[in-house]
Amino acid sequence: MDQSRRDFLKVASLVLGGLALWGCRRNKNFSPAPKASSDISLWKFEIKQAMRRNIPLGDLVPIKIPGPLPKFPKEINRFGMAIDLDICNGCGECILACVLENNISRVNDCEAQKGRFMHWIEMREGVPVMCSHCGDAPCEKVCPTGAAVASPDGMSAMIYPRCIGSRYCGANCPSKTRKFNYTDARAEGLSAKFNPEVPLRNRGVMEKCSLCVQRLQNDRLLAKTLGKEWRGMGVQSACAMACPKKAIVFGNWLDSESPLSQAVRGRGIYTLKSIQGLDPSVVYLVGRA
Amino acid sequence: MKGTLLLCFLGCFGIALIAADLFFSTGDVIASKNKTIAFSHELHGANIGLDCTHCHTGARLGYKAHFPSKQDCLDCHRLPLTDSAGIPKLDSALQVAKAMPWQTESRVPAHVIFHHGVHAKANISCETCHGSIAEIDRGKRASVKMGECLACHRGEKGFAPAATDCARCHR
Repeated sequence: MDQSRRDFLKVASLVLGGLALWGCRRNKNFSPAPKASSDISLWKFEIKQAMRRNIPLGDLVPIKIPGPLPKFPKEINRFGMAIDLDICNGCGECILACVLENNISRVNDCEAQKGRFMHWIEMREGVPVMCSHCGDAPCEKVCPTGAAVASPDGMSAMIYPRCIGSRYCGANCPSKTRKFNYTDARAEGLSAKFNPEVPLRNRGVMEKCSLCVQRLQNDRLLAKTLGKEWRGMGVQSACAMACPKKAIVFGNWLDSESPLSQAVRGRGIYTLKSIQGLDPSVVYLVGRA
Repeated sequence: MKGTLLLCFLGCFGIALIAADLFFSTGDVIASKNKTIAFSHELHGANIGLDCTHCHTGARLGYKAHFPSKQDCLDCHRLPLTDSAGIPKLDSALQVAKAMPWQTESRVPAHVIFHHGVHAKANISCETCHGSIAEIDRGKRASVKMGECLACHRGEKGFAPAATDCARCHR
């Protein structure tokens, strides 16, 4: 078999090129993903792990009752929550309910060691802290793609497919309640679809408390189909439903009959000091006003 | 010669890899056209004048428009309706049909909500998105891009303007 140097180099470079391409392949089909488990005890264990962290809460400062949003002056709904710290004992049931409602994935050991859990509710000194859905949200101002956007219903919404993972919003959030998907939870078998209504998030996407937007959307669409005015009466977030002491109250700030407006009547309304000027929708109740 | 063989081998391998990727990749959207009985929308809709919601229950008030079960077909087809020559063929097809003859998966991605009831309430006909009966019989399935949703929601397609806020339709 005679082969010229030219032919040999040709074949050799082709083979090398082929091998290089083979090395760059997507190998998801060849290293099978670990079997995803939907065993709730795994999430319960992770929540316990997360609650052992010592995250400082900072000071709570009194604020005025949230009113209509300056961005949407004509809207008749502004949803929010009040967490009664006189009743709350920091049991963490709300975190589990939130995880199961919103299909929040677990993190791998490396992330867990760094204390970077995906839970939308965090216990800081025994106080549940989640996104406050600020009326004047600093996260929305820095999002380069408009994935973090204000909703006319008072939520600070997150449109996952728009998110390119710049993490500017997380950096600009004073309360540090935004969570970034550092790991591909689906590929590592760390996520489960407990609730078919909520999509799973991909790697490289920021997420946070959505104020159970899926429940509000479902209720709104039903009301609109039946031709009724929608004030969100009867809708509750997963954490408010799960709280064994009923310390979390969900409702409409602009509806004087909503359970939220009833619950805050005559109470001291507080928020984290870091976001006191940002018109938060999720507040804490302490003592009498 | 040796080089050509190697090249062929690598080429086949590459094609196999791409095929494997296509075959094993699973998204939120699965389109399946798994019909066991050839169903004519023209015959039922245009000729007899049945409303779409008669079989696709839920389209008027619900979130999803559902597909009929075999029992729903048999509600009318238990006894022969005409003297047509195709009746025995239909009867034998109905006998072997599964309890749920049509299995379809929604094409709407998981992060989008589309409520049929709200759109029916706004007097938007099924044809606006799903196409005419003839098109549906030819196998067309509604495939709407976000731009088309938005054009209609902005009031550019002759219907009243609707919400264009992201969180109204995305979750």
